Amino acid sequence: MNIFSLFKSVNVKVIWMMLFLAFNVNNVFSSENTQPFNESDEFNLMMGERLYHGLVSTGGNNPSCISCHAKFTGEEINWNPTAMEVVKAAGELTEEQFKNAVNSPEDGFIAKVHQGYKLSDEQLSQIRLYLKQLDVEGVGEKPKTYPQLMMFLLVGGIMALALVDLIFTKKIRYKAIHILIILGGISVHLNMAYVEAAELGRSEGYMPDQPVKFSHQVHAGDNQIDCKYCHFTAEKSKSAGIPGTGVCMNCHMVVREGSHSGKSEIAKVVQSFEEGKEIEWVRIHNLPDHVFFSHAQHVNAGKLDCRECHGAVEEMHILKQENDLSMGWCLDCHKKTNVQFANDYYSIYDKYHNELSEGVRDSIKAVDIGANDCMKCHY
Amino acid sequence: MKYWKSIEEYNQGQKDDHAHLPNKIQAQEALKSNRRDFLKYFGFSVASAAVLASCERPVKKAIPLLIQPEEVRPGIANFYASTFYNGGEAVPILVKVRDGRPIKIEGNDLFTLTEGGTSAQVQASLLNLYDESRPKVPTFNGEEISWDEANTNITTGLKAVGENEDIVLLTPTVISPTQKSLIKKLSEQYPNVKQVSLDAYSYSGIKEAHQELLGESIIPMINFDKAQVIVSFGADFLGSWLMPTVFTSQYVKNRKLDKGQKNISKHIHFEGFMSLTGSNADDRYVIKPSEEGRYILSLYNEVAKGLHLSSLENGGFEKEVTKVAEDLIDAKSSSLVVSGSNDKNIQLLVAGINTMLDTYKEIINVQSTINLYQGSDKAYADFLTDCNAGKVGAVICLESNPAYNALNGASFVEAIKKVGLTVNVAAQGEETSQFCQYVLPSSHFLESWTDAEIITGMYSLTQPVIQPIFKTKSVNEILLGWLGDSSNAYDYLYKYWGDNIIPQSEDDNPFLSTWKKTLSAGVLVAANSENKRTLSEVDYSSTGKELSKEKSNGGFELVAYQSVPVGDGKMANNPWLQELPDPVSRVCWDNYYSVSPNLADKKGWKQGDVISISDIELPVFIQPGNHDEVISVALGYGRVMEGPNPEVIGKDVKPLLVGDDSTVKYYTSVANVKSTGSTYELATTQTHHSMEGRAIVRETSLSEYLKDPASGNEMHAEIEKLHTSLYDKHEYKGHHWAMFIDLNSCTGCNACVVACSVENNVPVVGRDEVRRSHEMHWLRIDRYYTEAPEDPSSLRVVRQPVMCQHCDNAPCENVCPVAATNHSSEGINQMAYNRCIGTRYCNNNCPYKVRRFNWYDYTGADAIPFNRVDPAGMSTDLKRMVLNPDVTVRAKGVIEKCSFCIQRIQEKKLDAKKEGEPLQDGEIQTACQQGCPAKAITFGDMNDKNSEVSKMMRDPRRYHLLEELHTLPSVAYLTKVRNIEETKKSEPEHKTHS
Repeated sequence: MNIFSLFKSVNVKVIWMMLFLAFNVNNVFSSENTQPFNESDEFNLMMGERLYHGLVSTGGNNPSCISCHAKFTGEEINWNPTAMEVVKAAGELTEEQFKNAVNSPEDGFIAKVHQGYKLSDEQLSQIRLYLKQLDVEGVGEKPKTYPQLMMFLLVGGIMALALVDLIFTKKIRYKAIHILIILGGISVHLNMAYVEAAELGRSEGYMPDQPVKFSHQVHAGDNQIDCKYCHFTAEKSKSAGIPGTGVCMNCHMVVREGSHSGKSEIAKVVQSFEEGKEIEWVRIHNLPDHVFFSHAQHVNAGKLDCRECHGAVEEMHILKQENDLSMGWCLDCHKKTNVQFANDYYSIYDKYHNELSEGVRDSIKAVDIGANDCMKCHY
Repeated sequence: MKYWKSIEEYNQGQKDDHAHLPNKIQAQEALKSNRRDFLKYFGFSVASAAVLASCERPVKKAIPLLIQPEEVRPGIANFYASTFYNGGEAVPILVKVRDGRPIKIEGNDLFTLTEGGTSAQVQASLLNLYDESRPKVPTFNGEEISWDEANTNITTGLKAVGENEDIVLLTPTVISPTQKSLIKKLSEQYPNVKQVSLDAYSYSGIKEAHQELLGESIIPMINFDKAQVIVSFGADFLGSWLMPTVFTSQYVKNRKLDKGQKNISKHIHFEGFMSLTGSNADDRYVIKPSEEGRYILSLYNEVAKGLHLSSLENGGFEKEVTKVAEDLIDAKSSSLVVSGSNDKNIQLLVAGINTMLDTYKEIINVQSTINLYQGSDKAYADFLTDCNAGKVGAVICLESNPAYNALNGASFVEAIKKVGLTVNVAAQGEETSQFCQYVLPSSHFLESWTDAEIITGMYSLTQPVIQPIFKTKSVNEILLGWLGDSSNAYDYLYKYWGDNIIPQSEDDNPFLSTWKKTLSAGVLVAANSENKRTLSEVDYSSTGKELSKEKSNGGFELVAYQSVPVGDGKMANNPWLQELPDPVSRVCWDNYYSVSPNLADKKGWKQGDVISISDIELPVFIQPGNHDEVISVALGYGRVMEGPNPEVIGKDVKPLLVGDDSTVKYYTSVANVKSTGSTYELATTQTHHSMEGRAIVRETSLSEYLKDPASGNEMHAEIEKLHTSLYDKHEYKGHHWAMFIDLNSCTGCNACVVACSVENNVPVVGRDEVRRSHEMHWLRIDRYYTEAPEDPSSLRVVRQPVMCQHCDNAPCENVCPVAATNHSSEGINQMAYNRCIGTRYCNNNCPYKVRRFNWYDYTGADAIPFNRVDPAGMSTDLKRMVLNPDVTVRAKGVIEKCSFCIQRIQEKKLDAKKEGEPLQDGEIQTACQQGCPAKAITFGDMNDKNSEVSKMMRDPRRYHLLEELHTLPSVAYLTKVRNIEETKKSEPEHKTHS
């Protein structure tokens, strides 16, 4: 249930800013040259923030900074450096270099995109000021949306109305209608509670931001690299393994510019390798501690395709957890998946071999050899 | 009643007084709860449900190694060969390393003497690596200094030592050839360096005797596997004497009947108190320790008489030992006499008997020496004298901890006050450190490069399996530092082996390949050297005279022994060892004065009454099998160590043994025994999980066995006939796992119990919880006595390891309301912890009492902090590194039990699938089986008709625990066969519940 999350960070700052803007935009502009606080840092900072968010025009037809350098990533991949990456990059530049980098970048992807940028020195220093502030404060938490919550409250409101009408106002003659509404409302609520509860600890569709915008679509899809080239322990170990930078460098020793992201993302990998600092990837597929899962069992012995569990990874720019990884999902699959019975290990199953040769059954499912025993996964 | 577990049970007959249960008042208190409590809990659960629901998913990181070495694969364990040695026994081992953490120690099966066997201490030594109380940085008078500073200051100090003053290196026995060479180099650089070895338990006597016999002060190698008759005078060779792991492995080879053998060795034991070895003997004679010399003299005379050789002075016990002498002579040249005494005369006479019996040919091999325990009592006494005389300029203790390990620690502390430079190199927070100026932290053996020559020509390498956790250096590195040698410990070892040891091997391969092979195998056996030692003729008459003069006065005698779990006390702050019940008394977390039931009766002492002997107060434990005038007490307790559990456990009894003589004696006569009037509750697991006196152990004698292999096990056939069931039989289409335990092989050494705890993350619960019967060991070794306790000599002991029996008709499975425990398709009684709601119905319905309930969160598995009760400090971040990642750490409120090491079964099955080959018999080894030095446990697939367990199924000695209940266990036992003369009526007294 998300009732309690209502009180959590709805981005107060954003709302406040919107309100402020709605009432004060003209005011600010008209008094530009008269107010003493116009020279102050606070004003410049505010202007920088607005320029970045595109609330104040930079003068030309250029898109606002945030339209490319977003603070948060969404469902779709954004190949451009994020706000924080821009902050980091800008932090290393002098005022002059920064201005050049925005208005007339020298080469590469950025030169194409920033073509025609003519920001004034004042605007640039205001943006720079804002970026410095971001460096200190960070971008904060990603604002959350609660579609379920609105539904929950709506139904709750209707139920409350029905209750009020039932007891006090009595506008509707038939009490059955009130009762039907209330019962229906309760069942909607309970259903929502059940669905939410069942999903506790599961994270179907989880797609966190990674420190490097690594695209499985580019690697496994466009370039047809075998999964097991990078995840090379999948056939041997319980863990498929996250490849170390050493593996990345096998190719990226040569390939230094990506088709989508230019040099910026690959530079991170090279930097990690050169500085000897591991990349801290965010883990996507997590099983609880009391579950034992082995990739070797499924990939090697079971000869399953990676896609069966991980989905069409070769079409994902941002990797996403495709399935809910719940126990029911495991058990269902065990019931319908054939065992690789040709493996000599299974030669001890005399009875099944006889039944297969006699034609009593045509396949052996994983469940038939005890794949759904508790202690296959829990010990 | 035939078998009994405790003296209380014997006295009460069938009726167990359940004294160990918490009293009723306590129980009622615990049950009290009212409406308010209900509302509190209700409110709490609603609130916590709400909080849980709004919880956010924690972000987990996956950080790969920058450049992954080929052999390091996440999720796959690597095994590295190394050596366990901490001043006592040395055992070649394999260390299991998962994702960079050492998590388990196994025996090295390539070492021919142990064949992969371990001991409880070897298994437990792993935890000392993760001990946060270890010294972490070098200190000078308690202030932290850098290593460079320490080394510079110490070498300056050593150079400043005057010419006529000694620099004494006080070491434990050094068995490492490289370390020996480093000490030699040090003495070349500093000519006044003198090495003195100090062992925590002295074996001076046996060495001095061989000095006389061979002209060389050595301990010869003993091969118990070649002896048909073994007579031991107080030598606890299965528990603590010299090399118990090696000796256990050898001893049981002659005790097995599982492959159709027709004979087993005969073991006769003389001792004053019930020891592990004594409890395994066929015939046991109870004597006072002071009578030992005269008994051996009498035996000498009787053997000499039988062999028509000249005898010595009369010992006075000739009549008692006639039978023993006959047995020895009958098995001449395959009989063996050993003694645990530290008296040179006794050892010399034992050597005399062995010479007469031709034991020195095959069984005792003087060409091969045991390199352990090279310390000399006299050398150490001389060192103290020198110190007091101001002749010592510097003392460097290299992991020898004399303040505790020396018999008289106080005299050491006194002596070094006169020494200018004192350095203590210590791997643990230990007593000596507080008396020394410099304390240098040394690495655990799992962090060090070194080597060992355990027995002449048998080398074993020690390699690190983890980077030093703290700022420690290995002893070899420290010595190299003092020598000013810049090479590291590995380079030195590599070079030393290349020059000195590899050339000794029979291998003709180039050095590098031999070195790599040795590093992988861990052990290297040198080519046979020529026989260089010969026995000289010794005149025993003066020895005989001296021994015949020994008088035992009528008073009490106190024997101090090394217990199996704690030993000499080097690992006394290891919770796994403290929690391990003593194999004889089944008491843990304390030492105590063991007295016989007769003595207790006479004195009016009860279990737990605290008595004081020369001001050392300890509780009384009534131990059947003790001599009526002997009080026995374990060494190795009372250590003042730092640790998560800073409490001093037990008392150090060494002060009682201090005599005028420089030689160390482990018994003494005591006059001053007083009751204090107070009582102390010992934590004993002896009466827990009692099986209420039903026929659970079955035994017979060798002669009966030869007539009928099923003797003693007649009940089995009888019950098999009655088997019928309402339930459908389980059908096992693939595997059907089974375990066999040979009661004839099991000595009760407890290595399996610790191995199981390490493998399966079994929690340590601490003394108070054990008192409340809350111990968690999945595997226990039950110990039963038979015959009357009044006659200690006739008392016999049977040991029986009991774990979950994995019944086909499991009573636990039927009563679980949530189906958390049920049957697998491979015959395993499986337990799903995350499904268990803690009703404990299964626990109550289990006839074998093998299920354990987590009353608290002992290991830090719970998210709820108030659930945690961790008396042994096992839930710290560092200690938790030892946990096996393949086994769930159980939270509060769930039942757990033996899983047949399901994680190992699954691993090996998967390996077979990966290879595409059928699983071979013996490939899967459970942790208890692998750790067992006696190979008493066999595990395998009953569906495989050629497997070891299938063969054992057909053994007439096979029986199951409480088989009359028709639970159809998958664990089976083989009856115990004793090599005894009398044919007993072997109809066990039992009730069948059919």
